[in-house]
Amino acid sequence: MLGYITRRLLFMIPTLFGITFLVFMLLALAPGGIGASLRSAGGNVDADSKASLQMLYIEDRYGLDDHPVVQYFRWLGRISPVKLGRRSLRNYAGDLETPPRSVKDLPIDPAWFGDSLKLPEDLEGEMAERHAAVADDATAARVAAVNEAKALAEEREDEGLAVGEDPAAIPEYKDANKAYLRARAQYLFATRSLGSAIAQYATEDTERLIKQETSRLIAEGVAPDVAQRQAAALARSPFNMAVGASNVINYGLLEQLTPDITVPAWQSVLEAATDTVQKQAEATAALARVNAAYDRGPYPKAGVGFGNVISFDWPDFGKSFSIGRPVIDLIGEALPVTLLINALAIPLIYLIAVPFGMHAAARHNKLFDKLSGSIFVMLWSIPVVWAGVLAIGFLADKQYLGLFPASGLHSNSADSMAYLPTWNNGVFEPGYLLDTLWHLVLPVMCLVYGGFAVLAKQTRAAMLDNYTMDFVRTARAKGVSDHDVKWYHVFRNSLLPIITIFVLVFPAMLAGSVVIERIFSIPGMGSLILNAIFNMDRDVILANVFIIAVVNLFALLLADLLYAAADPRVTYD
Amino acid sequence: MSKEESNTQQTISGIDVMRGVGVTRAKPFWADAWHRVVIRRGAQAGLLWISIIGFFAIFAPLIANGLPLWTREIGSDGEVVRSFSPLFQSLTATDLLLLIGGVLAPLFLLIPIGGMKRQHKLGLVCGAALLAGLTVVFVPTMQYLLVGDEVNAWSQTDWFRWTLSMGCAFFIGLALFWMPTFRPMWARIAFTLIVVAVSGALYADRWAAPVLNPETFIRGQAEGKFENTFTIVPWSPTQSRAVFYQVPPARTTADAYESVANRRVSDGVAFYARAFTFNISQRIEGLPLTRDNSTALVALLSMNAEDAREALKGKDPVEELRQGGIDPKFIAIFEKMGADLAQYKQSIRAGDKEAARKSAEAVVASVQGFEPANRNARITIVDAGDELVSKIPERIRSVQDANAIADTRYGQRDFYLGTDPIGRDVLSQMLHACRLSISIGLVSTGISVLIGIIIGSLMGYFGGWVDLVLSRIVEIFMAVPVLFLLIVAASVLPRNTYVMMAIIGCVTWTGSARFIRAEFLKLRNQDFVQSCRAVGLPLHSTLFRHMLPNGITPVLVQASFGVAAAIIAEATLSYLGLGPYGQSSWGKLLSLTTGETGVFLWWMAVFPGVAIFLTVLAYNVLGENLRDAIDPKMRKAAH
Repeated sequence: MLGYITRRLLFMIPTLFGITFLVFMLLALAPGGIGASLRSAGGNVDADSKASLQMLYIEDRYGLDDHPVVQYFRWLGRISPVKLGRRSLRNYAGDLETPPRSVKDLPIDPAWFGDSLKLPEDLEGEMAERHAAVADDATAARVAAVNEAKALAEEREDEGLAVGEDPAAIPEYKDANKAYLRARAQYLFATRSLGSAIAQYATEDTERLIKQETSRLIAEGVAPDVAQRQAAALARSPFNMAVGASNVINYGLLEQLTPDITVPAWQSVLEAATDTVQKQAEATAALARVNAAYDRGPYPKAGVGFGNVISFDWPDFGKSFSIGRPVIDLIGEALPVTLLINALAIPLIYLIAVPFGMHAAARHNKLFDKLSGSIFVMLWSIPVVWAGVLAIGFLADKQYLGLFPASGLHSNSADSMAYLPTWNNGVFEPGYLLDTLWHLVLPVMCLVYGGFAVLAKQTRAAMLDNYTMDFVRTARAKGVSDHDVKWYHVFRNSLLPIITIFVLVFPAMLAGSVVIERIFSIPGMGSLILNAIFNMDRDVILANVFIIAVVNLFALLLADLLYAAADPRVTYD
Repeated sequence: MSKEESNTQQTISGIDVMRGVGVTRAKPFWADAWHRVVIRRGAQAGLLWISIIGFFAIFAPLIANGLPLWTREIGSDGEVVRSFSPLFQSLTATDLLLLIGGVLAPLFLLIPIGGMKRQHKLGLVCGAALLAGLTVVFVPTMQYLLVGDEVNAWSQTDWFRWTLSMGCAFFIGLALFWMPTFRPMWARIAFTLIVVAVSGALYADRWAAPVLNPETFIRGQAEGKFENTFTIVPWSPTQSRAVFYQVPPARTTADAYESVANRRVSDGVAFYARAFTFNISQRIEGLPLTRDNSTALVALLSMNAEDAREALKGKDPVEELRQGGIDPKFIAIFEKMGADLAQYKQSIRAGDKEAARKSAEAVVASVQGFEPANRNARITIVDAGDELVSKIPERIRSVQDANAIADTRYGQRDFYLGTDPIGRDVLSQMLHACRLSISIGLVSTGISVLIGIIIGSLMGYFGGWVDLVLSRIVEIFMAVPVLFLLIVAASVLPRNTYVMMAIIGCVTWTGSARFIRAEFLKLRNQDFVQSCRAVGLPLHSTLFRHMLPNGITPVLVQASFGVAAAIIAEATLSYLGLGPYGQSSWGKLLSLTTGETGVFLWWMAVFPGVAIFLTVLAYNVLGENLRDAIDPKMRKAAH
């Protein structure tokens, strides 16, 4: 048995890889790619506008400009409880401080520009000087900050909380980090400017070629206007081929071309290139500074580990793109709501479906059996969206009955209510609990009715199976009463499959609540997931898929184990 | 067993049995199962409903179309210049193929030709449908792959479209000539080629069916240029006018116009009454306007006295104001304003521009008797008064429109099931949505069963590591609820019908794979499979010729429930706004139940919902009956 369980647990790992990879790649297929919601700057964004620079920055920050597969593996690295390489730190607020990311390589080898790049003699030295680490006693402000950090660390130590190896490094780390992020962004923007300059150069180069071609054609005796048109149709600078949409440059193609340095725009290309090289050097220097500060260990290390090789930590589900909050917090808020709805719905399903199923089996092929069977098939065939729309329209809308609230989980005034219902001067006040329950009547109703059919049918089938068994015939032959046969012989034996179904009901309910929470605007898991999907909020979707898949797979395993436990005839060895 | 036989009481001797007396020839398994299904009431009802939906799926463009079935163009001297069918011209290749098939197939099945068996004919019809369907899907896909979204000169030429259509058709014919349709090879190839050639030619001919505007013909008829004969439901699913917003069921076009005209006039006056009431100051001496007073005042101004009393539940508005402590001199002014506004409404209804202007100006003049609290309030009142005057021509026009249309043929057109919040006919949309529902249900289930059979049979037959690896794939799709995957996929992939069918098919195949696997695990050790292996039959023959027919029963039962689930999935996705673009769908109609103004439109909730419900129910009932009919345990229990 233990071997079976281990095997199943091990098999879960490839399955989890598979499902998250599938969803990740589906998201990457979205128009605009992953994180399209971040780029909702609207309209046709000009390549050099502020909005587009912002977009660039955000893409760099979340690593959205990498290939989806690379992004997927990065996500896996965050999710994995086993971490390799440099360990992250956990700051006092509980957020992860990951090791600083390396600076991207220059898009093109500076040698391509020839000797005309006007770089300072000792560029790296100059930059290193500009981004040298600030000593902890350099200025009065720094000294104050260091002292404060030390005091805070001591306080934490007294409380038994973890502190870093060198809490005094916190101010330096913060400053260095800020400087690095700024330098990195500036390098990014410089790259974009280089792209724009090259695009401009390509345009001017084409104009030059057109002029050349026109004069050649005129010299051959073609009429000027015809020559102009022909030249415009034919002449095209090879540089144009390297310029893609919104000035994204194909540098691989560009490197194979030789620029014509007589075109005026070449000068601005050179300037942009010089700037880019400088900014890259600056970012590299800033990285060195932040790395040094990081290695001093300003904060405690995250997780448990052995040196810088391998460590263990809780999975990091990241932050929502669209809300900017940790995904785990969002799930922590949404899950109780969904659990509450299900906690109301599942017992209700059992209370109604099991007696009906039992009775139907006892009255096999009688009127009750047929009637309840067809009613349950009908209920089963009602699409949830229709039930929700009808419930809201006829039961909740003020135009018709207006009995129930149409949306949400509480009334507006729920915060000021007492918890339990009260009589106040002869006026009945429902209170928080009753108000919430009142809001949940319609959603739970919509969630429940479809489950009746499944469970009632299962109960009936299980009961019928047992009614045809030999031991039942024996019991009847002995003269056991119908009531006793039903309850002590048949029902007890039919209970097992009914119990094992329970494990599978929960994941199914989780799916069912997606639509219902949408219709009734309930802030549960379903709404969270649906909003995340509509916003293409990568980390929220993936975290949800991962968690639901884990719950589901464990439920399947548990169902199989329960089955074996309940039925001695089933073994997995 | 017929009744007659079971009633005969004569005894049958052993010799009789040997002679074959009283022996009925055993039916083939599927014919027997089908017979058992069809004798049940529920299954009959389900089949009836599905065939109704299927009928509309084929003939919807003929039944519900805003374009005339037949139009005669009348020249200036009153003679018919030409007659043509705009409806026929606008049909797409798919529409036409379905129409041809929908007429020919039943005839072919019912009329005895050449001694062919019914099931053989059915096979031919299914084969032809598959070929034509593939052509219709394949040609535009190739076109998209070759041309993309750009408009090229060469892609517009006749040469290109004929070459592409016939080329695609030819390749499909080549790829599918092995389909088991006819026994002699030449007949099989001829059949395949004829079907594909006809569908390819139709596609080339209808490359871009002209988009005709129904309004042209309606206007032409009003001007006497056209004489139109419309179909039963004379609305296209996309056709709308601003006047037809949220028309309840069983109203005519004229009703819609009239209610809009009424609303425009009354709303204009009510707007003025509210603007005036809420902007005259409470600081004016002798004018203490409370909430109740305001209601009474708005009622008094915007309605005539009787209507106002009714609106105030029998209370007299003037009496209300008087009891509210309002100075009688103001009440007199209010009464005069109310009378003027009533006069204004009446003049507009009569089309008298001058009288309307005069009464509007009288209303504005009466306002001089008040001194509103501040400048803004004064401006609001003056603006509202201006609106009263400036909108006169527009309001008169809408009343005239309503009067003009009342007795025309256009005015007598019915909206049988009302219209949606943007003025499109609900019945027409529902009829056109039948095709989406039926085709998504069948095709996506077909895809899922196909994938399930292939993967499940490999898992079951080979076992071992093949089973292990493929089980992980099955588990991947089972790990997350199907609806999640559907929503994620539908929100990132292109929104069209074919993609949606593919998505639903590719996500829901795990059920049939597991069923087939279980069956094949049982079958693979049986003697006939062993002998297949011993004889050295190729793998596909062993799997699909010999094992599959013995193991497919549970999958087919499941498929019926699968169709129902696919229809629900489509409705849910469409409800969430993830359905195919430019395609009417029951789910999309459901999502429009709360119109633009947030008012619940009951007809939008009830009719499409009932359609989805009945279709899903039909498939579920059919599945239940099929299972009862096939399941040997159930059969024993029933006896």
